[in-house]
Amino acid sequence: MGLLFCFLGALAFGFLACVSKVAEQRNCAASALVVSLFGWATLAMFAQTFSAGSGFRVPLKVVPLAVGFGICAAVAYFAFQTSIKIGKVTVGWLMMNLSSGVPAVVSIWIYRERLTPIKIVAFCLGLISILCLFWGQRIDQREARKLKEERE
Amino acid sequence: MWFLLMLIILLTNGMSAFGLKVIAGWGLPGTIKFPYLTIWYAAGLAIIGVPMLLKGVRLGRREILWGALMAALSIAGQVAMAVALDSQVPGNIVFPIAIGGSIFIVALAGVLFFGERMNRLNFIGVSLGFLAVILLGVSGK
Repeated sequence: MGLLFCFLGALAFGFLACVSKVAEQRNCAASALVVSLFGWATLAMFAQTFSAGSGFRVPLKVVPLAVGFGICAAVAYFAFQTSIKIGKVTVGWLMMNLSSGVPAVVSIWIYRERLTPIKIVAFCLGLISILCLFWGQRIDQREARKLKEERE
Repeated sequence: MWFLLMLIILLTNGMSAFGLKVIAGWGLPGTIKFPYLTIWYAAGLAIIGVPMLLKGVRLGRREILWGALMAALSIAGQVAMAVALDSQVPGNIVFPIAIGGSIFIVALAGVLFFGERMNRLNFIGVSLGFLAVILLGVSGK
């Protein structure tokens, strides 16, 4: 049963990226989409907070943390939504997920988490992957420019 | 422009979830998660919404509806992972399946429905990135 929910999670996140691409193809403004997404999610979390019955009590030190990381999330999604207009949705989505390597590095630095061999391999693969994707995009851009020049 | 956007995504998206780890480190009760996420989403709404309003970009019916669907899918994904974790499936299985699976679905949709063609370097990059994300999921959660 638990595994079924893992696959449902994969479907939901995969469809999220696909719906973002479809919305982009229908000429939705990237900023308006992100505002709508975050607006609905704010409402849902607000409702969840009160339905849990614990009320809206937050220690003061949590507020700047939530504001800072919330801003990071919105900027990231805005960048993703803008990027799929000029690049591939697959690459954008992969970057969104590869970014989980950044907090892993920060955790090793701040919380002195162990740098395991699996993590070292993952970081190396991630770096090579980013280099390949950047290089691949450069080739795509060069070919598109060449094609445009030939047409002109 | 594309390169800059990718760098922004790399530096900001992963860090956005780091706050929950900091809160866990402070030993605060689990009930703090929902008010924390309410402020988290509201701050994101403000940082994009205010410049959008100043620029005069309209929030149309289309964006409201597509945004609602995106929010529903995002929350559904989080809930599905939470249920899987509550069902005693270990995190090092839940995260690689959910995240790796989503990349696979997007790559498939990219080729089949959005007409995205990949050159050899793109293909190698996506394959290695897919492996890296799975390994990060196995090692980190």
